[in-house]
Amino acid sequence: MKEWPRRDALKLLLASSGLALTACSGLSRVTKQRLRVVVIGAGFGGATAAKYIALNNPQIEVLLIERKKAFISGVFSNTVIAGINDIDGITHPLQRLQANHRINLICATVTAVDPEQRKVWLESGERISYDRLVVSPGIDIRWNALEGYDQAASILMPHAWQAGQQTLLLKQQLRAMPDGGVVVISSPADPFRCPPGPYERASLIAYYLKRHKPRSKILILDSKNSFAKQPLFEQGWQRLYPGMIEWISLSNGGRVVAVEAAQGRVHTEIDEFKPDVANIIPPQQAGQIAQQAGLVDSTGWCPVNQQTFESHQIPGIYVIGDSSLAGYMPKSAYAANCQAKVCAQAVVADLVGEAPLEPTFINTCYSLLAPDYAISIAAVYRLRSGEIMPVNGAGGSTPIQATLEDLASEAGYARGWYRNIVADSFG
Amino acid sequence: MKQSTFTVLLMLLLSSASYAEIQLNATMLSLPCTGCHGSEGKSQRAIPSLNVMSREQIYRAMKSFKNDQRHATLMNRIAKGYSDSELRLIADYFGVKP
Repeated sequence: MKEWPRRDALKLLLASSGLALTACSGLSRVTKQRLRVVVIGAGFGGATAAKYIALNNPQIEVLLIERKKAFISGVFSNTVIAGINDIDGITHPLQRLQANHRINLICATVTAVDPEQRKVWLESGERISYDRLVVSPGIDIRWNALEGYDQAASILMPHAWQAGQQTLLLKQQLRAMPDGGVVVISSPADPFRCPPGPYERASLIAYYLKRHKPRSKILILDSKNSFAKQPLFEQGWQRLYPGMIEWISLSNGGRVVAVEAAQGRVHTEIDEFKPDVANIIPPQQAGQIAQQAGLVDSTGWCPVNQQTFESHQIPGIYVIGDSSLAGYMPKSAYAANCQAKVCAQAVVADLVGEAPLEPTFINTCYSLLAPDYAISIAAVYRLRSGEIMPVNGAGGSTPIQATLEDLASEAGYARGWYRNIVADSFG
Repeated sequence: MKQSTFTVLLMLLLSSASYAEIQLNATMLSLPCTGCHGSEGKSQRAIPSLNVMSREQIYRAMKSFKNDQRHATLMNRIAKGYSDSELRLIADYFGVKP
């Protein structure tokens, strides 16, 4: 069993300028050992938090624990399914964080958190101590929340809501489908990761089918009565894929309640479907380690102080990204990136005995309907009475009367957005 | 009824007044921008870099987006979320980046 000691602290502090010591007055622990922040999960939230803690205060030792060697983003994974991008285009190595910001990357799975001892346990049995812990594990699928939808079923009916093998599986199934086939996309009730995602997926699957299997249909079975950017999606479907996409709302019986994966059957409350391809986007909850560590409440998500992202359940642990309950912010990559920077400032301030600064947030989210047609939604957020709320009069969606030229520009910006957020988070 | 409406209005007024007085830190205002515009305002593609613009250029652009005097696909929606003095802080933050 290996412990990760923090004894190199003094050496490093002495090597650095004396300014840091005086700036960190009241920081008695620093003289004993270097302060350490452990971050669990290297998605848009965790990677950004690790990077910005390191940037904010180079005296702090940052350990980033991630079980995968590279990050595969859910964002833009629909372009892989549509065949306009490949999986390498959404796969991002984590080594640059180590090289550029001296973050210690640990490729491992965390099995437990001990908040009393301030230690995390790895699958290998190793223990890593921390002064502050940031948890950013994304989502976990709520297996069997839809009757019959378990891990085995997800091989036959991929969710593709955690990118990687699942993305490729859905892509393969679409390639194998006959022309004239039916694709079912089951969309869950709120809250879930990437609210416009199912509808972008329907659009980009339609883009593929229109070119290769034009007699095919897409049926969206929804557990909601409305969805993000709905008028813009519907306008786009009318323009680009007339007659190809049908949306069945909750009140029209769209809610999927069960699947029989081996038989290829999808059941709603009132109907039964036997599609050629079933993409089941199931109900979700906070990532597994957040559940295990006791960071979730009865909603299955993690309540936090929305100024700092410190857990309401366990002090010294911060939860950001999809797992957190962050007021009115959606579960998006941009939200996670933004929350991570606010959290990074709060963690560093806390460690040096200062008050956290007043945060502001932005969310910007593009959805591609075709390679040259995209729509967006944005919001500016502030803290009001402890809750993250959108600023009135700002934000909103692409105007419904936007020109085709603007929609094409948005597609270009969407690709620029992707490049920049990836670099800001992983670079 | 009238009394309670008045109270509510007064509370709204007071809360928005105190809200407006919160002095925001330039970094905390500016870091949310870098997800789109790139770390330190250095964009890799399509979206304009902010570090190559002067403080005055950034401020004027944001003001004209905010007032809808200049057309953009998205920035008009974002710029409306900030007071003029906050836009100045953001412009000053990115305008001096190398």
